[in-house]
Amino acid sequence: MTGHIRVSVVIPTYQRCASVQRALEALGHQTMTATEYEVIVAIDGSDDGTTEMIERFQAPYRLSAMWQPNRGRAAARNAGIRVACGEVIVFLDDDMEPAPGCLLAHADAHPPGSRRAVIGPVPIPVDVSSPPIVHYRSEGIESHLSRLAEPGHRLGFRDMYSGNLSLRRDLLHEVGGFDETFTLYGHEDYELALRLVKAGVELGYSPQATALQYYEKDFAAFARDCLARGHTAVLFARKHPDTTSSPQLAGYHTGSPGWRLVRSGMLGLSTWLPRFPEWVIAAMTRLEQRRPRRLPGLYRRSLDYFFWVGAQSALRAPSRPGLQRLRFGLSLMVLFVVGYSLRLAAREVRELQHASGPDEISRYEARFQGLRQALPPYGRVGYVTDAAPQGGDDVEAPRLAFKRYLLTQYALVPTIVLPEYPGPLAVGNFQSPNGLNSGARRQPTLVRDFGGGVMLLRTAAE
Amino acid sequence: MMPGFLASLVAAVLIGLLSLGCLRWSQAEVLRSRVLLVSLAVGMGLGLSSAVFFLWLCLVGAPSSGFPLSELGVLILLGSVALHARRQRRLRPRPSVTEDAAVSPPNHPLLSLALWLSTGCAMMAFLAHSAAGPQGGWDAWMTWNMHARAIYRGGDHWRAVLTGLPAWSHPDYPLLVPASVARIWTYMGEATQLAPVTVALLFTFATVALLYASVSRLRSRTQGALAALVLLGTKFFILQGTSQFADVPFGFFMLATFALLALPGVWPDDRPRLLALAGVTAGLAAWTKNEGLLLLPAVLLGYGLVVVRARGWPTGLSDARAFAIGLAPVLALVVCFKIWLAPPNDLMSDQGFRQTADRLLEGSRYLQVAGGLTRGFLEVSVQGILGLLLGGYFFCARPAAEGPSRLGARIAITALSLVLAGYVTVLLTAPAPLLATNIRSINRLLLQLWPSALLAYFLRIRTVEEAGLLGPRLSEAGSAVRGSDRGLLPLSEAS
Repeated sequence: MTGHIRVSVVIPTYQRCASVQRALEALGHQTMTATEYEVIVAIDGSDDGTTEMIERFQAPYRLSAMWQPNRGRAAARNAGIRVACGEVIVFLDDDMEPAPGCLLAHADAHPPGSRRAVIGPVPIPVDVSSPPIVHYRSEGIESHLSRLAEPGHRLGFRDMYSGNLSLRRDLLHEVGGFDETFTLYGHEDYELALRLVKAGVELGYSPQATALQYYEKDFAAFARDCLARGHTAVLFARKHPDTTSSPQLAGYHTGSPGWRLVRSGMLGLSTWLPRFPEWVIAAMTRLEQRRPRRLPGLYRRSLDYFFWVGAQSALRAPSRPGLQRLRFGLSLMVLFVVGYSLRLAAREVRELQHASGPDEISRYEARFQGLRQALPPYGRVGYVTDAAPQGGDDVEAPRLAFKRYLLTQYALVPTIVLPEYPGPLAVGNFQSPNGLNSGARRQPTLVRDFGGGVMLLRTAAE
Repeated sequence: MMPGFLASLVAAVLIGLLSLGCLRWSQAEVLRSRVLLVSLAVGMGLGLSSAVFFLWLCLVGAPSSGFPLSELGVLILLGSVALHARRQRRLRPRPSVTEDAAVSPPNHPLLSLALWLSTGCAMMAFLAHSAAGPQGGWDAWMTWNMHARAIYRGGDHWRAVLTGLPAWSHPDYPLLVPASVARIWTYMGEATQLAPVTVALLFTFATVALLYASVSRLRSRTQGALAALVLLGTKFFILQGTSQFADVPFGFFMLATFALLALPGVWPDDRPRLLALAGVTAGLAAWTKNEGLLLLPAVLLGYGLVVVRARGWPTGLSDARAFAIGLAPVLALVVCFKIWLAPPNDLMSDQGFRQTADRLLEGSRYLQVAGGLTRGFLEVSVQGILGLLLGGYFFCARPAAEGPSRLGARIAITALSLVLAGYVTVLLTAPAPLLATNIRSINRLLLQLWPSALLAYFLRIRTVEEAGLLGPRLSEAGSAVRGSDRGLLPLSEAS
């Protein structure tokens, strides 16, 4: 099997031996002559027998495999690029089954001198027995593909994916291949596409270059992918601050307020309870089995949550020793304040409920209302009471007597009430009914009794 | 009654807003800071409208139904000036400050929730406490509401009634709070407790809002929320607010002064305007309580010590000029009140050099004052719990690096230290009969400083973002969105 290699197919894989085998078999049925292409399987640390399977595999085309410790898809693809010798490199994911015309369509999309990156459709075949998550993914992909197929649609870097992508090898070398710092799932394709766009590469879509995607992940795996995508979205945003990888990353404050509140709560819980995302996965898996009508909506929201869990983990600075202390201090302060505010409010409301009628000062004032109206708008009067400070054991007595005087003044403003005022009129403020005759130094005469121990008196001038 | 009540509040807030609008702001960011502007407008509006009311009393006489009309004239005048200023304004769209201070990410949702919950609880506690005791605390009816009644009920004799009140009612105290209450009564046509309760409510929550807004603007919204939370969790602050004393309004103006002195750090183009406003609020502090007359030299000295050292004399002098422009009219009002209306202050009487020196040499006084300060601090900081929490948090978060708010923090710390030193000196030299009374009210003196101390504290320490606790905000990850890429693909669907 020697000759001019037009296409090198690079398949990164991790722990999916059977899928790789299906892809290799499909690659044996291409319309392109088998001598014109080679297949390189970049094994990213798999230990599930993929290497042995490839060694045994009888391929009509040139097949090679390479193994590296698990470093992520970007590194695996770069390893494949380094050994590829085709003019055009086609990247296929390990769960793809390329249609017979796929490689030829890719090869034809790159005439000599062209600077293009081309993606082919990756529909997910489904039937009634397919799990609901596969239906959900299939609908998402179909909607994306139909958007790509719209006449006049110009591809942006966010339209690109690397599951079925081709471009000339020299272009890949020119831009430096995939960024290997993307060790987790996602965004290495956008990142490459963005650099290609910046290098003046045209993005294209070839409907003939179809590869079926056999989606075999369950919800848990898909949720973990979303989490990884959230993480890598932040890495992408940090690497390219002048743009953003997805509207989702820019849309933390978009969406329904109710969901945002729930999501905030869930993200908060995820911070404190590292196992919380696993509990969500378990809950969703159980729910999935019942197939409720609102399952797509639940998928959408839970996957949104997992995306932000990933983004949050990427945004969080690496843990430092003092950080736990700070978190503890902050939580303590906030909890104390909120708890204390609740306690204060509850206490005040309880006291208000137990209060009977008007407060002491208002009641006191009401006693003086008649007298105040009878007094002239401005003037000075004396003050006579039966509760003058007597000394003795009751230490509170002088204070209470003084308070009664102050309240009398407060009630009678603008009239000035002075205990020592020598004028002819005085205000009588008595507690006992015969107080007028009991406590006063001078012997006043009653001018008018307003009731409740409040009197207007005439004093004999000294 | 209610229309008059509402009209009085609307007019007061409008006076505040239009006074702020009269300034030709350079940075659009200032006008976008709505919480800051509204909280300032509430306090300044009440303060300035009380000054207008006092002028009316001095010039026209008794509070009457003609006053609202004259205030309408003031509003029209301010509105015209504000309109003119708006036309003359050349706003700069972007703030010329460091990014972290100018573009503060939104608050953390859980912190927002805690803030709203605490605000709701504090409001409920305030209203319940006020409903149970609408006359306020002892000093409220004995001093502040008594003065308000003297002004309102005194009619043409208001001056004689006010100055004729017994000495225990302290007729020498400035009139911002009493005049604000009497002004609302004039609008309403009757004296009800709704007015002092409302004035107290507005000042209490405007202080919280101002603290939140200023720290948010100077540091980060998370930091602002934390500062506001701590203030809301200060039970003594909320209950003193309901007591209708003048300490919370005074605390508001002190806080406003320090915040406005710090804000040029992030809005350098509006430096003279912010300093002039700081002058107004410092003047209004002196129009609220006699302690304001101590605050003024402390602010000037503190500002001078920090700014002249950092930026030299020319900046210090031009800043002082701007501050004086704002301060002068309000201070003139206070001086007129002190000269022509107020009797001598009881603290000032019996203060000869010999007596003062003798008192300063009494060791027992120091012990009493230290004990009073400790008890006061414990009371303000919820039996010291908040103090411990803040101390521990400072230890964990550590001081902030150099930034636009550092100078403001230094000014506040220096001036607050000077004010505290002034309070201690006054206490040490107070005549013997007043000492015990004054020591009992140290908690309220400390409460006046509390909002400003929280401002200084939260300006000084690192934000949770800087400390790396929350990391950059989730919303921040996508904040650098530029351009217009099409064919956007939801991530969960991309493979």
